[in-house]
Amino acid sequence: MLAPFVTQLASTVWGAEPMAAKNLVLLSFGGGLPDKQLGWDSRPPSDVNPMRSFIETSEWSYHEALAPLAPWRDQTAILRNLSLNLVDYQHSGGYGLLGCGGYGDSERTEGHAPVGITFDQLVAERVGAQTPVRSLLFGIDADVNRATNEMLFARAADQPISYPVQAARLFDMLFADASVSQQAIDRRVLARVNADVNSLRQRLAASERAQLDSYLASLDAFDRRRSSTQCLAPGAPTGERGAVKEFPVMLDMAATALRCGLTRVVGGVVGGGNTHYHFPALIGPHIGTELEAQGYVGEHGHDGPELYDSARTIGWKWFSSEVARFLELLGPTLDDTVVVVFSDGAHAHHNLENSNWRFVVIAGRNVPIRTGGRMLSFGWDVGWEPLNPDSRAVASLWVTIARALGVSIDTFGSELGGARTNGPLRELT
Amino acid sequence: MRPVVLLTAFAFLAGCVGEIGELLDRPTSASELVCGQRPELHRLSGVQYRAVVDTLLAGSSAAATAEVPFAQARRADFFSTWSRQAGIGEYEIDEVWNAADAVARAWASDPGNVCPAAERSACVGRVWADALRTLWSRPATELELAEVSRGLEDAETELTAQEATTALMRGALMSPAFLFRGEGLQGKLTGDEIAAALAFTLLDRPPDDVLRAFGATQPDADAIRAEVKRLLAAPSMVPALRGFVRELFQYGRAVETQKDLAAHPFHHARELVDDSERVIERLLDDHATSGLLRALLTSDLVFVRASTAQSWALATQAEEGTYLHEPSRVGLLTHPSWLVAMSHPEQNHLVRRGLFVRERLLCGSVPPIPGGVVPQIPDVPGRSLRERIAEHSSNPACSTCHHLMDPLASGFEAWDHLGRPRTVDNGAAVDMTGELLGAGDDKDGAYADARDLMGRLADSEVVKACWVTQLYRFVHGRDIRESDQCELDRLAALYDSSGEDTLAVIAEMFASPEYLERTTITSETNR
Repeated sequence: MLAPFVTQLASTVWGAEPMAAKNLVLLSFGGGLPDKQLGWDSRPPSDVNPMRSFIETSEWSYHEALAPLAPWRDQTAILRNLSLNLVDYQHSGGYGLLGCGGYGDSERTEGHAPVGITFDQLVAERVGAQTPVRSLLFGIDADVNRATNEMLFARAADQPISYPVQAARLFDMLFADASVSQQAIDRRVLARVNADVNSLRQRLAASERAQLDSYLASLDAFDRRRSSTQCLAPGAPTGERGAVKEFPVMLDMAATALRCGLTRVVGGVVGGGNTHYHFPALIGPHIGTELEAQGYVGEHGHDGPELYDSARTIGWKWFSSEVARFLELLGPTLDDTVVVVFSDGAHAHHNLENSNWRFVVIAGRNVPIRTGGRMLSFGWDVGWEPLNPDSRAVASLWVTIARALGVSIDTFGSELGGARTNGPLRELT
Repeated sequence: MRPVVLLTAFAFLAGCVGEIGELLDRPTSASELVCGQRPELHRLSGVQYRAVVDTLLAGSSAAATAEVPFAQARRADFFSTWSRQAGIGEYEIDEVWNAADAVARAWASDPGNVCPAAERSACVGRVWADALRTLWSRPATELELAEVSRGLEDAETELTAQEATTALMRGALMSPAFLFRGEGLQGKLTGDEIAAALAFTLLDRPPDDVLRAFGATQPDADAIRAEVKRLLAAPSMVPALRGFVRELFQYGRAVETQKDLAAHPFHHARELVDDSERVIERLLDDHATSGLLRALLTSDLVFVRASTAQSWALATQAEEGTYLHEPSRVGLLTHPSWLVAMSHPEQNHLVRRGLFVRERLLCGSVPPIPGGVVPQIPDVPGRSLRERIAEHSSNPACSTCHHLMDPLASGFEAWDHLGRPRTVDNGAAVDMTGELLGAGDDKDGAYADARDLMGRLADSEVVKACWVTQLYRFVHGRDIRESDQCELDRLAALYDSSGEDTLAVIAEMFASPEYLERTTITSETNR
């Protein structure tokens, strides 16, 4: 049933870009790793701008926090010091990180709404529109019923996306089984509801239609998902809660969804900002207890105490191990996939001078992105100085990856903020 | 195969057969000052969804255990009521479907809700009429009930009677008429829409029999005012009033503020929040029709119990707690719960407190933190917090914004980050003086302490107008639009002339011509 449609899609979307990637995966872990902890802080600090010039090297080593990713070194590029000028930034880039503009997550009395579409959703609009699941977003936090950093993905300005935060819910969404006769009845119900919504929508003025438009789009996505060829489901979640239990299961589901073509865009998030300190099951009772005993709880977590380095290392080592397992699960699908591993909290958890953003890009063999185990350290773009010709923007990374996915864009980001440079990263192409 | 037949079987689910008329756009010229409210859809909240399900499944154990959609708060919302503006996202649709499925199965599992073919018409007229009235907050028409009868008949050619009932009810629970409550979709609000608006907005539940009967009378403005006052007769029991005060003042955030419990074993955040809630209950009942805001800002009434006595610096052995008049406290902003909610883990958060006063009491704004700035306060022994943040006023790059916040909060330096009174901060004497700016010419200027500050805020016309604005944003579940200005001006004047009657203002929000007669406004933006 689906085959002719997929063939048609391939000829229209992929036909023009024979070397285009098919899948995009974004994986974020709350709380970044400082350069000095990784042993990558190779240049002396100064009062003004210590990271002025571009340096490319293949002579670097994995810190134990990232060591599980070492088997993919040849397919990896480490990008350092990409710039992103966000207002109100505190601990997480928020919608601004993937949207390249507007606000970060702040300490203000309420959160800020996104100012535009985020990169993942832009890609999903183009390459995910006809897949059963347009984009597969999920996350988990220390508070298992709440995504601390739900402010990462947005469909458009003022349209944030709240993603599933329970493995069981994600499983039901992707792999819920229903008999053929039940599905037929369900489809008729959905068709009728769709007609009802359309009928009501037509009686409203344009300004009042947005809520119903989102309902219509969701009904359509739900219908496509349920009527798609079912994948062979991975093991169902056990119902145990918590990041350590649930996120690996979520990644299993994401790998399955990518392998069987349920989706082409995946976004997975653990925590947000510096919240990995709040995962006692992850960082261990010893460190958790000691941190708490010293009062290093809540809003603390600045660079410094060795315990923080330990917590970061343990947290990231776990996360990297899960990413590595995910890459293995992808199997040959990885060849057509670009995976970006990062922290929504920049390289530490403050976006000092706008230029602290680090990304680990792992590109499959058919992905037209030049990786090769290179580390690219760009010059800092400090807002109050003239534009550094060696600086590059986070937006440029998104443009580069979008193009690799066959999405032809020249620039990305909101007019309300973002970086002072844009366009593709020639260093990766 | 009977897809067409079964499709028509669900036709009644629109909930709008013959009910929603064509709404004509009435564009206005850009130069014309436009006042009025637009037709609106309000998506149910999780609490409201559950309340409807509880009514539908009255007496069933399934009601209590049913998982409902829309339970997750949206972080960008100023008030939780703003989620009414939301649509239904692709990750929420599963929850909506699953909830509809579970509720429909539970409802159809009651044999009394399965209408046998032999007495279909009478049964549908009884059972489905009641169910649809609960879901849609209006009576189903004869035509709609006939559609139900025909739908069941058609569906039962393929399904059992119970399965057919489940399928139709699932569709009803997915229908926009249930998930989105309309206001003024035909221009003028219907009586049913008014009754539903009052029930859901003020009480977070669907209309009961009394409100339904009220709606059926097609009430005029005076009747609406009277009905609102009836519903608000016991203010402390009204979810909207309690929710508004809780969300506006944010004292509940005390439970999210990390404290070193080993060093401060007397700190019990949840009990401190409850202490404040007890006081608010009293103030709501005593002052809702006369000076509620003033009481919230200046009252010396406190509630203290043994487990929170140390935080209040009061002596009591009463485990269950007791009300006291404590002259050293001046309103909610001097309660330990608020002081903790607006604190760092180990020190006061002067900037957050100032921002609170600026944005929430004065309805002012502060520019966002510039990109790349990391707010960190130097740790200097022997210097108070105020001394350590002196750069905020001495450095022009900082003072542009910080002069809008810091001076508003220094009065609260009389208490520490756990809410206890103090005279010394980090070895230095506490300076409680500050400057009020933006509260009106007659109130602005240097103040001596928190008592002086709170008294001026309570008397300020700017603060009173802001109170009305915040109430409007909460009740209507959205931010202010330019076209709301005439209404806001009128409501602020009413608050003043009525002797600061908050309930009268709420009643007027539902009785005003702008609310009852909607217009389609094509050229305006949110403020």
